[in-house]
Amino acid sequence: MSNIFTEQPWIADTGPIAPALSGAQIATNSRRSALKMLLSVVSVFFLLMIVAYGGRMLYQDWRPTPQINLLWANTGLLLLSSLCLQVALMWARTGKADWVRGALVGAGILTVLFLVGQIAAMQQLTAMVLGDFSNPSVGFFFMITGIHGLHMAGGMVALVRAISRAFGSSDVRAMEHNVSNCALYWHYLLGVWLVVFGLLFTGNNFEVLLRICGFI
Amino acid sequence: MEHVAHDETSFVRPAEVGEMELYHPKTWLGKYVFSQDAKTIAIQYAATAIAIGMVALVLSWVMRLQLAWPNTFTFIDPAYYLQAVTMHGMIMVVYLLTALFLGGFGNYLIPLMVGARDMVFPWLNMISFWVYFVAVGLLAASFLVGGGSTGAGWTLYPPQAILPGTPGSEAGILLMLASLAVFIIGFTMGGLNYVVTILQARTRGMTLMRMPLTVWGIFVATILALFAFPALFVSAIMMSLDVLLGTSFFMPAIMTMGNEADHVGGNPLLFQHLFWFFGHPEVYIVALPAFGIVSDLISIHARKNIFGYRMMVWAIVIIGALSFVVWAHHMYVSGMNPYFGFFFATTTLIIAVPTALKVYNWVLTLWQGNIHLTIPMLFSIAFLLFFINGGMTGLFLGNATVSMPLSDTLFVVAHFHMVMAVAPVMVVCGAIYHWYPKITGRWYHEGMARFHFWVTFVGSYLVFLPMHYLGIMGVPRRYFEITGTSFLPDSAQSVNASITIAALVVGFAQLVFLYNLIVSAFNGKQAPSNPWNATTLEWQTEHTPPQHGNFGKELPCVYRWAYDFSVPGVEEDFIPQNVPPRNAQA
Repeated sequence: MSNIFTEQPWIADTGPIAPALSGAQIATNSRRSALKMLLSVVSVFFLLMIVAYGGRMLYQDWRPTPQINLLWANTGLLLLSSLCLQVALMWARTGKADWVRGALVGAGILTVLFLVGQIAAMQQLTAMVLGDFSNPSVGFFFMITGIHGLHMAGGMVALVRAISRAFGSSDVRAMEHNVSNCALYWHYLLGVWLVVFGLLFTGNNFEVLLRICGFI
Repeated sequence: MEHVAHDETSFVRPAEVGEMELYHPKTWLGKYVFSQDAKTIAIQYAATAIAIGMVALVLSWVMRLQLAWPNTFTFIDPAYYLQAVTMHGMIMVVYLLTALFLGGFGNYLIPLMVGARDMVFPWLNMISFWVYFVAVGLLAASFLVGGGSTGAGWTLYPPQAILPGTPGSEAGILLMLASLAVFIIGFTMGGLNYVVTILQARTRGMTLMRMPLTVWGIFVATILALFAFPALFVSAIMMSLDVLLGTSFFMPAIMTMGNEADHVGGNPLLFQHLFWFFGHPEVYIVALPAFGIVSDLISIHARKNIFGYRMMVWAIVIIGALSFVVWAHHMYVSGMNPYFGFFFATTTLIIAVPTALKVYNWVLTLWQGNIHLTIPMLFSIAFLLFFINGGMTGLFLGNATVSMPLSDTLFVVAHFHMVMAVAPVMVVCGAIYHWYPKITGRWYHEGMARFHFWVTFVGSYLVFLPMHYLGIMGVPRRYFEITGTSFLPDSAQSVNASITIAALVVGFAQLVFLYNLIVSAFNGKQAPSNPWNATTLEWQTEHTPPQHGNFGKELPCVYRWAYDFSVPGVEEDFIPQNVPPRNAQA
């Protein structure tokens, strides 16, 4: 592995050349790299929304979102689905193919329940504000939960593919790659949700948010 | 050379790089329309970008006709003028230059230059282009809807962007926002491909520090775009919600057309911050690939290794990083805290340091080089001149105190056209002429190419140099008509007319350019596989144009950097990257 800080590229090779990756390795590593890159992009995306939310809170007419208790249950569902994927990954590493399949299906069901719960929470909020979305915190609620939900739904496409491959083959090694990527994505979106839920939707965390955003 | 003692067979492992699983199309549609070959996708990107770019060129003529001869052309009314201004800007910046540099050059050059068979996710790459195509379609559709396209200015500032009275405030703005969101989704797919291909699919011996600067420029620009576009995406969603659901992200309580609007307490400045958090890195998303490409063009056509390669790489990286902390210099007149303005003025001036280093290195590469005044070299030198000119005026505008009186004048228009429109376009033209023999296997018509160069070069100066003068006099930008301004002499109007004549001529030259490219692709003389005696891998392919899979049975092995030109003791004045040390002897 060359060092980008010390390499002197104008000097031609005088020693062994590092082998390149094979086609299969490129494919495996590429998926993982692409996923990490995608999560970095998504992080910027959510970070900007949180900063925008914090900036808007500074104004005197700020009214927080009404409390929706259903969100606590939804958070629990997402936590469990993430846990299922972690367990599936653990079992994939120890070669328990049947258990992996069960855990993957469990994660899928819990995620669908989470998404249904989020839609129900949006409906509850719509009823609470009588369809008036002019309160910015309500607008942020819909936008942030909606975009988070869309990311979860996108993840479901990958999870369904992983489930169908797990049922179509007993190659635990291949399962491990797929489960590992799904688990990373789920853990990440759980983390995003916990931050968003904790900061934005569990009461008036005005000061905490302002500190994080650097306003005070 | 003292580093050639080893016999390559003793240390090069057998080609371990198995063929990546390439998709081999079986139908005409699969090969030419829904192709998964990065080279075909590159040409699709380039053709679409140039097509929509021609629309933007015509829109610039509309603006110039009105400014030169006000109210002479009845089809240009104030609304149409503002729509032309808006669509010209947005198309040129996002849909032409970004798409052309990253989607066009990125797709064609990355796999070839790093020694890969294709992008690592060919299917996703194909989808990326078609999503871009849909985005362009949505944008074009906005010309046809009721009320026409948006006339809010390319910055789309609320509240005026969505209030009645602004052209296109009905469907036009929504189509623009939808188009941008779709564009960003498509770009993210492509961008992940470019970055991961560079990180994971480089051939043996192709270390990061042996990559040509073209790849470095595209690589860092892609990362910038991946991190900057989310800001535009977020603001597009928020503004769409303000229009469609009546939310108040950006819309304050406001009177419109004598009535109170439904919005309360939104923050228009928030949009400006989000927009420019994207908008300034966007300048470098366009500029960095141009920096990379022009470095290679200068080196190849001056037959000399690039001066300060490592410095050039780190300058690209540092410019990329700094581009995220200068955005508010676009907002000096928005009423910001003076300390805030001071911070952004300072970061803006700091970014000039690595940029200036690059300019010095280009000039030092030319110094005592064996300069061949080929078409690509002519365009490269023209780039340098435009870029230095635009960069110098950037120093004026980066200072808050100097910038304020110049805000919203033609000085700003002249500055950014010099630095991020004409300069990168010079590189685009130079790059197309440089790689044209590889892409088509044929030569373009040299006479037409020289005509294109000289008219574009001289004409662009005639357009934008006098514009600085008008700006300093106080001629405002975006105005349909300038009346009742006693501080402007009549000569200002004469200058405006001369600018328009030059702009029309420069536009005509681009038609000659396109004609040359299209006709030569069929009738041009057969080009050799490496006509410029270049060192990079795309010139070492078995076939010209390169076939699907790029290289022969085995991928090339890289032994050296991309700049071994005029190496002492070696007979030829270039050593390709895949030539082993022993074979490089005289």
